[in-house]
Amino acid sequence: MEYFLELLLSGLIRGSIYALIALGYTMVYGIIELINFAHGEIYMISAFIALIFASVLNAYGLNSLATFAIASSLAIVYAAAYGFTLEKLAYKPLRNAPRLSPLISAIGLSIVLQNYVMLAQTSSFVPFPNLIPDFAFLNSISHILFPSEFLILVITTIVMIILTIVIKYTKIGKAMRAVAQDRMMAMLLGININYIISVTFIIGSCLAAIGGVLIASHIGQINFFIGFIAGIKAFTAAVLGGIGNIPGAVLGSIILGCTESFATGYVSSDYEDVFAFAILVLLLIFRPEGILGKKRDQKV
Amino acid sequence: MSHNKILEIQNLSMEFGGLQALDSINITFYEKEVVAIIGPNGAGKTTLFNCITGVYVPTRGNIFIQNPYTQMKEKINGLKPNIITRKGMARTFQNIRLFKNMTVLENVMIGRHCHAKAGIISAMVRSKKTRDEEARIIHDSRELLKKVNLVDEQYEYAKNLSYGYQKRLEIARALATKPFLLLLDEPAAGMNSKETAELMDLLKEIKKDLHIALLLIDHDMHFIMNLSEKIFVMDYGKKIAEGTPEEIQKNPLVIKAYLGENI
Repeated sequence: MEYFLELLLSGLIRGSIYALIALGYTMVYGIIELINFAHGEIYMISAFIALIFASVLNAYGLNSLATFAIASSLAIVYAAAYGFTLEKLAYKPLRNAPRLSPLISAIGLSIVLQNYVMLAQTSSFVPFPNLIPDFAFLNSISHILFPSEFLILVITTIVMIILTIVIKYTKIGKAMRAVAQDRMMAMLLGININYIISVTFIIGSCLAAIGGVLIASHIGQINFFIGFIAGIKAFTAAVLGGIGNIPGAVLGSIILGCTESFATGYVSSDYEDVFAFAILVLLLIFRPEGILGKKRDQKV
Repeated sequence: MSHNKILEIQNLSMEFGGLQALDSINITFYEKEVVAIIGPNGAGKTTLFNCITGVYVPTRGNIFIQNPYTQMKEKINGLKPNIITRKGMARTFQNIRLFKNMTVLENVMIGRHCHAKAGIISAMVRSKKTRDEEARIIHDSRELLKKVNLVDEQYEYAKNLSYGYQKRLEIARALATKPFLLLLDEPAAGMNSKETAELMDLLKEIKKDLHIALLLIDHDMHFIMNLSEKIFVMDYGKKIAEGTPEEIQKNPLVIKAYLGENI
């Protein structure tokens, strides 16, 4: 039983990270119906940015928690700037092009960013400093829950609550929902579409950056390729929950995380991806719109 | 009462490939008027609406609006729909285009938001300014819902309303953008005679209380003749007649356009 709970916990932790990334996919898809394949790279770049700042701050002898806080804040700001710029450069000019064009643009962008980081940094794994201190109150359960895992769960929960409030109750959240439902009508009610799309990319990128920094400090090493794997997994989670649906992305991520965790624990770690994608295939056969997705009306 | 111009359409043409959807249209609208545009299907009525509201960029010609409060005259063709809306023009569509997964109140609030000042940062920290503004928006939106008699349904999802209620909600949402000209594309389409009569009363009340001009497209002649002070008739992208309802009913060109040549 304890083994089961341990696996469940590790599933939740994986799921939290997937959720932070999957939200960016699903929000962007909800607004402009684009699979932003470069989203995973934002996550990877933010981990590198955090690493660079953390190294600099470490050299000045700042304590580790302050370093972590400052480095991750800066990484989030950087990621937001990246998200904003990428949308303006790669997607906005293609807004009225056939749907395949921005998709190709996204894939191209993903390759460019990966190779840019590989050339500018290195192609091998680089160690990420362990900046999260041992919290005293976790000592009694430290054998099942590391401080970094604790931080992942807490921060993800807080971020989800904030995001829900923003989407549900603020002016910008209402405008985002309106644009997702009917872009032209939203425009005719005075909503600036470009502003809303930019904000969506910025929020998505910030969430990915939070995920990137957390996972980097949890695992302890990063390279230029982590964004691709995490991106594909998070995308799977978003599809699992119903792409375009925000609670669906979180639910899909948790299910995917737990599936992987149980597959690793009870079968073999070699099979974690097999189980993850088998779930996706089964779901796409029996419920193609995703768990919480809505059936699309055929347009006449 | 002085009548100022609010919208001037000069030589407006719109072509789609080889199709001439609008052909040198000249129309002037005055403050607080109720005007109707009628014409057979495919005459270009909705295209004209789309040009005025910025959905289409016209091929040739100019559209000017003159704000009745500031008397400022500006050219609006080529501007984006959201900019034109902020300048005081609102519209509803032939088919219902509510945000179906939002509540009735939220639908109206979205219309009001385009006049809100608070930016994203102050919205996130929920400063006093934001909270005051939000409270005012909710208050204004409820007032509008009272006007269209939907205040009891304010927390319902828009998709759960009946057809007639949805039409009324669309009008309330359009009014929330504080227009001085409201464009209504077939507001009475698909309504039974009771609903049409209610809509007529509502529009009369809106005109009287809010002092805005209404521009209607509809095929229900009883509705049009009862409500409008002036009528423009379009056929094949051209304006073929204009005048009061009585004049239009007697105009031989109009009769020909509607009933054909050999009657």
